[in-house]
Amino acid sequence: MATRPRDDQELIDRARGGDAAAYGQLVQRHQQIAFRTALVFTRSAADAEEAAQDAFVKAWRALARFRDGEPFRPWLLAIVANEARTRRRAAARRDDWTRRAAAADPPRPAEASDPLALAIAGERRGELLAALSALGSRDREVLSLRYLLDMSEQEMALALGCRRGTVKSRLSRALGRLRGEMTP
Amino acid sequence: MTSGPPDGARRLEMQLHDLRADVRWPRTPDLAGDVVARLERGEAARARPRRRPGPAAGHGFAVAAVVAAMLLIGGALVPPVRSAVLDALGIAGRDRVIVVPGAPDTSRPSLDRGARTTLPAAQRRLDFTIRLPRALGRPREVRYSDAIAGGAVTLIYPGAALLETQGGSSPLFEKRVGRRAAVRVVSVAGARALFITGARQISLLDRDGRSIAASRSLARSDALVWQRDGVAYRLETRGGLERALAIARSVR
Repeated sequence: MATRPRDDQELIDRARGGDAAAYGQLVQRHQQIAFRTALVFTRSAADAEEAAQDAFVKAWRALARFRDGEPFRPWLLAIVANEARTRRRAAARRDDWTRRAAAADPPRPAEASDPLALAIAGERRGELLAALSALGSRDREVLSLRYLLDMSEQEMALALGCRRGTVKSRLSRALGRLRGEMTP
Repeated sequence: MTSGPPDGARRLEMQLHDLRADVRWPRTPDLAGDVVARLERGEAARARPRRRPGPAAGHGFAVAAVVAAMLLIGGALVPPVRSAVLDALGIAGRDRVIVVPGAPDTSRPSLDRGARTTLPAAQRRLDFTIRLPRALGRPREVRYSDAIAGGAVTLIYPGAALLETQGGSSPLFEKRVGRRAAVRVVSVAGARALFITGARQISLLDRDGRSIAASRSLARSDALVWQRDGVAYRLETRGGLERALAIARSVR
């Protein structure tokens, strides 16, 4: 329909015709959520940047398979998350080499110097953060996608490579474990 | 049927939602420029393999691994911008750079600026093509040094100096920085780059993986280091990141 917001679709159509600048606009529109999604999985800004960038290049190559009329963002985030997970596995191996190669681990900055840490040092908030820290990485991933990135269940399913039902159960289990951590 | 989560669960979900306002996400990089640059270079046909780390890489693996960690695990500042929320969720927890505080290591070989020469003379001794930063034009002075395998040329301008040397398959830069130094991961035409302020010394890794301290050409300067098309670059400037990037991106 002419009145339907079709900005992404128009850019996709132009990109399919080889218009790299149009694709650049599409990237610009979605780069923040792409980078942050990648960050949830890679836990490293540098890896997240590379993963997101590579994902955008792969998405360009796959544009022919994109189904017209569907939202672009979930489709893109599935590619980003897949790329980021691949990088995380590579990073785990790299970290192992790094541990062997580095004479000393770098000093960690003092948390107390972080204004945010001070600002949110309320007792309840602190308890929540401590409980989150105690969770496993799979639980933290699913909670991050839902509550930090505000993803829909459909987007989470695509990003995590599972069904919506699985997303619900993973989320429920993660929340249960989080409650368990917070219960004295 | 269910009537939604009980009060306690609801409250917990609201608390989690509230965390969003507290998150200090790392700055989102300008991916659009880099992606378009890659597409225009024809990379769409095959994703660029950017990393080739691995024990089979050959000489200097241990050092290369440290440097790879700096270049690739990095991405934050020293001290990095941190968020308690992201920390709690394990995000960005591995962002770090290797920091070696203290004075420059003088026990290792070092690379000085070398002897004064001309561009054609330096070019004849190098296996790669010297690239000039168009933003700066022709250099005021050209220096050549063979203290590093493959040789190095330094182009000197008022307020800037660009060192170019043969790269390899591994990242080429190591750094020794003081506690006040900061490192930012940036991008130069799609290539990963480090912008280093306050570093006392930045070393190069030669083709054999040896770490070689490279003397500064410009006092009290910042450094932007990157590698592209098999050539490693170190740009020293005093104009801040934006100026350094403008110069680096004009290197053709």
